[in-house]
Amino acid sequence: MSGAGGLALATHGLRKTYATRRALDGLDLSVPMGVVYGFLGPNGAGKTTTMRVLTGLIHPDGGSVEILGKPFKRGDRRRLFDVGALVESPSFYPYLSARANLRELAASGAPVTPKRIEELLDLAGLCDRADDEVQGYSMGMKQRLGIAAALLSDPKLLLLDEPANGLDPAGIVAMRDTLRALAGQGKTVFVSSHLLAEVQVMADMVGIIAAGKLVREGPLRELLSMQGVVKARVRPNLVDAAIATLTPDLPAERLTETDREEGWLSVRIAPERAEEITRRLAGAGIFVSGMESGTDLEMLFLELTGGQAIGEGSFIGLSAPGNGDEAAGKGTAA
Amino acid sequence: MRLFFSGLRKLSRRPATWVTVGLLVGLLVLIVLAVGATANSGGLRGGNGANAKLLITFPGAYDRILQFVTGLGGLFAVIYGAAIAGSEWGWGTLKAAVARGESRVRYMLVSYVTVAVMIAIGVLVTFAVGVAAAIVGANLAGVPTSGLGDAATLNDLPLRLLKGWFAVVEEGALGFTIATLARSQLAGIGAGIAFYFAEGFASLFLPDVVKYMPFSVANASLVTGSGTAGMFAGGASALPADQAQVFVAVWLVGALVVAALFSDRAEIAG
Repeated sequence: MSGAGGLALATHGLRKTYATRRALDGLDLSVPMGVVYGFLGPNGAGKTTTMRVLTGLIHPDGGSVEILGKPFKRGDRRRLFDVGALVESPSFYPYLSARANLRELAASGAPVTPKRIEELLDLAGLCDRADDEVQGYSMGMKQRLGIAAALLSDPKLLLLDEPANGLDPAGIVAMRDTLRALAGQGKTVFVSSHLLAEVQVMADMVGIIAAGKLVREGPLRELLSMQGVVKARVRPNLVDAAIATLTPDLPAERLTETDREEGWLSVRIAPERAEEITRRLAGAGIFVSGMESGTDLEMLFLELTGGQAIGEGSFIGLSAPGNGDEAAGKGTAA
Repeated sequence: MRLFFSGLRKLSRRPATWVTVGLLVGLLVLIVLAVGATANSGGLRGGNGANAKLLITFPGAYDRILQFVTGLGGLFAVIYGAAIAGSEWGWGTLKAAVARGESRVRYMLVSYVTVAVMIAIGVLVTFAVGVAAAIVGANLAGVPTSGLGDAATLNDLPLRLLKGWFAVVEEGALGFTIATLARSQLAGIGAGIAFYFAEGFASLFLPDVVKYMPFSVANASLVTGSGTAGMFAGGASALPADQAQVFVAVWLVGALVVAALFSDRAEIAG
């Protein structure tokens, strides 16, 4: 992450109302240059509306947008020459091939060389099918082509709305690597997603919105350090004693049982403080037989968005004695 | 120019382009050959037969074929224009271009310019094939083709083709604009066809009003001294051809201005 280059994207008090529904209610975003920024929010929180505003598809009722350090207002369409976007579903002429679609799209906006189109077809892994009509493509192939289309102008700022939609696991990994590589080149990647696990492994920064407002924004590592989870396994008949031992030093809401029968306790504490748990329990004669620690974006998300569950769990076991299912951590603390 | 040539490439590869021209050509050839093959049969003797033979009797056949091309072609142009504009919204390709920083107004107007070019090609191809079919039909019917090289008609032909193209372009623009307002191919095509026939129907009751309407002026603009204005133009109330041409231009420009303004102001979603 290199936030020293100023802001790639900023919104100030962005407002948008559809009929009687307020989609954006004073949204303030600050996206530094050269980061992968995960833009999270429950369904209807205003993510897609934000994307549409940022790409000039709709106009806000109030507030302002800055793209790459300059104001982006109605009529400033050339500012988008430095922006690549995939908003909602990828859009193509179904009767044209992937190559022809990229070529025709390149006729709009900033100029693009034919070589660039070939590079992107290669990047998207579509060279073998580049001359097939897009209407015969799978959803994942269309998505890859959509990401390639967003990269046409070699943009400094990339806006991607749910880029992992329809991608298979290998495609997701490839996309993640590509986006990380782009950020490594100093480009800024703004990714709206409901796949929290994906954002957790990909993003440098996250912004979480709910009801059209930003509820939290910051470096992912920093946010998660406030949302760490340590799970300790003790003998099931000692669960109550373990809770009693830990309670004086930990607020009650930070301490929950995950699975009393198996003896799992879940403590919301930064992972690097895991040894405090073991030391304290050992001091009371309660020995830990297993530990997992990690940070959970989902917990943070649920807490900030009022428990509106979306997507899938994202607990990352750092040293898992049990299996991954046990480490899912869903609903253990929220 | 990038956008213009891109538009031409897109339309030339689009099945709807060739289906539309193919249908028009197919219907014209079918009718002309049917007339040629049956002109001397019992069914077409008398007044009807004489009228039908006009389609394969040169030099008048030039005019009849052009009337067919601009008449039915006008309806096809409405459908074609609506399909092109509607798909830009429905497929999200306008959205993709706008998100790349393209001007909405320029995108839509250039799109229609390319439609107008394709209409020109369609009119020329259909007319040429129609003339060829009429020659075949005339031979089938034993009608002499000596009028084929009539100098006066041939001299007038480029201007008549140009006027015909202009009228069809105006009709196509209506479909284009309706689909833009509807943001949908199907709705645009449906509303365009409904408008086309509603105007024809209304001309029976409100000829003095309908004579200024887009399809009526398009047809009236092509009427020669001896010709007719087809199902439109309000019969005896039809505008004189030169006046009708002015209204064709007004409708064309008006339709495109509405399409451009709407595209510029519209919120693009989906």
